[in-house]
Amino acid sequence: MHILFVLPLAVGVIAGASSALAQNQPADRGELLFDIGGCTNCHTTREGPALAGGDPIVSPFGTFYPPNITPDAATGIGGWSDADFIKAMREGISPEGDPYYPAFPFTSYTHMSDADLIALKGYLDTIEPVEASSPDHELKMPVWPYLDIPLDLRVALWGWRWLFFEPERFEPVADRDEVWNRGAYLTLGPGHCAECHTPRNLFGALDHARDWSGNPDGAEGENVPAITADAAGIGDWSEGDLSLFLQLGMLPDGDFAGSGMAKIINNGTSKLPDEDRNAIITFLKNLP
Amino acid sequence: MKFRTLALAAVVFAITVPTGSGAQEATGIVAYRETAMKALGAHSGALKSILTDQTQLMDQVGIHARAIADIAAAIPAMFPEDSLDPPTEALPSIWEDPDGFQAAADRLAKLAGDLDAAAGSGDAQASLAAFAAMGKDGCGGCHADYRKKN
Repeated sequence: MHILFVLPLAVGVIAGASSALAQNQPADRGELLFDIGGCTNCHTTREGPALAGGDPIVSPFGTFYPPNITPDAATGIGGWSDADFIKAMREGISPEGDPYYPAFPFTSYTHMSDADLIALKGYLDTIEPVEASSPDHELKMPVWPYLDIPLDLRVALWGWRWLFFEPERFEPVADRDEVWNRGAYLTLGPGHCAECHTPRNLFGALDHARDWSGNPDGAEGENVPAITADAAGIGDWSEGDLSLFLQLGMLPDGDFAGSGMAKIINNGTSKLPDEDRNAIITFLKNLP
Repeated sequence: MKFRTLALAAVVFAITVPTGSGAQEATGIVAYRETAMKALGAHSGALKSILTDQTQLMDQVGIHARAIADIAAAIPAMFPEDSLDPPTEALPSIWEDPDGFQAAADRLAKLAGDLDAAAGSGDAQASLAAFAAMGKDGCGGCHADYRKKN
C-alpha cells in the first residue's frame, strides 16, 4: 500500500459519506472519462439540453462558443467515425480537415489512448441527440488589447500549431509507480488540468516553463490558483485536504470553490472512484 | 521548436503594450458581504475540524450549523441590484436569475438545518454526511453558478 493512501481515518469516513451521497457513479470507462474530462462544463449551457452547445467562453483571445457534441448527425458529432473523433481529440483537426482553436483542449487530450477515446465516444453516442447549431467564434488579437478587432484566425492556426503543438502520447514514467502514472495520465490527458492551472503565453499556448503556476487571467477573467507543490500552490495541503476538496469543493480554510472549479468537482472529481481520485492526488503531491 | 518560440516571443514582447491594474479593496456592501461570506467559511472550517478531528466537541456542531442557517437566510439581502462595484467575485447571474439565487440561499439554510438536526441526534456518521451535503450542494452549489474564481 502506498504511504499516501494512509489518510486520516476521518477523511476515509467522509469519503464513505460522500460516496453514499453520489448519485451518478460512472458505470463504465467511457462515462468515467466523460466525467473527469468535464465535457458538460463547457458543452452545456446553464439551462439547456446536455451537450448541445455551451455558454460562450470569454477569453483574452476572444469569445468561443463550445459546439454541440450530441450524436445529432447534422449539427452534432453523430456523423463522425471513431477515426474522426480520435483525430479531433488527439490532433485538434475537424473531420473537414480544419484546425480547431486551442480553446478546445486537444493539446491535453492528445495524451489519451485510442482505446480510451473510443470508450469516450461510445459514451457520447448514448447521449440524447439534439439539433442545435453553434454561433461562430469571435476572435480578437490580444497584442493590441485596446482594439477589439474581429478576426478569423483559422489560417494563422496552422502557424500556431507549427510553433506550439505536436501530437503526443502519454508515456508512463519508468521510475514512478503505477499509482502516480495513473494519476499523471488522468491529470494531463482527460482531466486537462494544465489548460487552466498553467499560464499561457501571448499566443494562448501553455507556458510549460511555468507549469502549474496558475493563471491570473484565465477564462471568464477568473484568477486560477497555482497548484505547484510549494507554498505558492498546494504545498501546505495534506492528502486529506486534497481529497476533501476534490470530493466536496472545500478548501482547507473552510471556503468552497466557485464557478469553474465547482463544476469540475460536481460533474467530475466527486464522482470518481476513490482509487482514481487518490491517484490524481498522488500525482499532484508529486508533480514532476 | 523552442528556439522558434523564443524568438517569436521576444519580437512580440517588444511590440506589446504593457497593461497593469493596481490592487483594489472592496468597499461598501461588497466589503460587508465578503466579510459575511468569510464568516460562513470560518464556521464551515470549524465544522470540518470538529467532524474530522475534534470529535469530542460534537455537541458544538449545532452552534456552527445554526449560524450558517441564519446567515444563509440573510444572503439575498446582501446582494441588492447593481451592487457589482469592483472588485467583486459576484457574478451577474445573481441578478439575471434572482429566483435561482434565492433558491440557492434557501437550500444552504435547509442543509445547515439538516446538519443541526443530525448533530442533535448524536449520530456522527449522519452528521458527516449532512456536512458533506451542505458543503457540496449548499456552499459549492451556489458558488458554481453565482461566484467567480477558484
